Amino acid sequence: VKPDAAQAAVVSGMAREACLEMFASFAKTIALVEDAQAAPAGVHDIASFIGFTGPVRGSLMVSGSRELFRTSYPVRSGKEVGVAEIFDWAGEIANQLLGRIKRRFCAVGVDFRASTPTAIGGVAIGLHRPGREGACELMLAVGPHCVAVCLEVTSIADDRMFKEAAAPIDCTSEGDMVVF
Amino acid sequence: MSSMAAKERTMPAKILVVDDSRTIRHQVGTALSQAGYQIIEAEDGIQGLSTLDAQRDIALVICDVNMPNMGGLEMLARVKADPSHAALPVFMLTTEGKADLIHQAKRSGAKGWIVKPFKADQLVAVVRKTVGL
Repeated sequence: VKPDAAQAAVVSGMAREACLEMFASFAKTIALVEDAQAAPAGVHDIASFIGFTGPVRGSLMVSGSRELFRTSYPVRSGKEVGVAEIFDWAGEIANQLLGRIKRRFCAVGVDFRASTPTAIGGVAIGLHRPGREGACELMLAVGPHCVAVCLEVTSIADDRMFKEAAAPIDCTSEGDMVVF
Repeated sequence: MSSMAAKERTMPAKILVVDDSRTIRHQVGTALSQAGYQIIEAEDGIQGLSTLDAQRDIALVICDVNMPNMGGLEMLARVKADPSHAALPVFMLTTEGKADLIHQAKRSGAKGWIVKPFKADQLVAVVRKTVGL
């Protein structure tokens, strides 16, 4: 069941927060582009995907240019970042972004299990008109690059994805380290 | 690791990094090799277990949770069930932060739980505290 308008707004808010947090370290300037469909998708030649399932299920897509993924690669070894590294990093971005979204879902009592991510290459594989109905589509300006994010989520049981009475699910935050 | 083993060791401590993401293996490997450790990599739990069987001098394992073929929690359970590996310290490194999974790892004998993205200096510090250099 697709979320109603109010619940879709909650999902969109979570995705926006998670994106801004995720990509903050990629560039000095980062901003959400208000009309996701107005931003150019033609330069996007890599897209990564990760699925999830549980009481809610769906998928997350992140697309951008090869240059974005190359310049944001998190290891500086002095060597050229190879194609395999670029694709793997694109998948890892989807994985880490979904982790941030999941923590926000858990905070309102909704959990899901993520799959492993994958990435593909192509031509103009960002967001396109018309947008997919019910999908949360975001475009971010990350320095000189743009990143497209598409989150689709449906509820298995009913149209109330988030219940007022649901207790938060306890989670640790990004970067936390617990030593037993 | 026993103090005897630490005294006998003349090479840098060997750390096994198990993650299906080569980016994460590269990140962890770079941080720890710059700190003086020797890094061995595996792409999933199955490869991780066979690496442990083949290389008996591994001092510590850093392991992702969500991996194809065999996930990190299953690998942890198998490591702890094998008397020849049971004493190995295992840290889980994952995007997962749910408390019930963390408690499950603790009950299974993990030494710690790190939520990605990790901070390199903290990772090196906790490895150094666990196995020395």
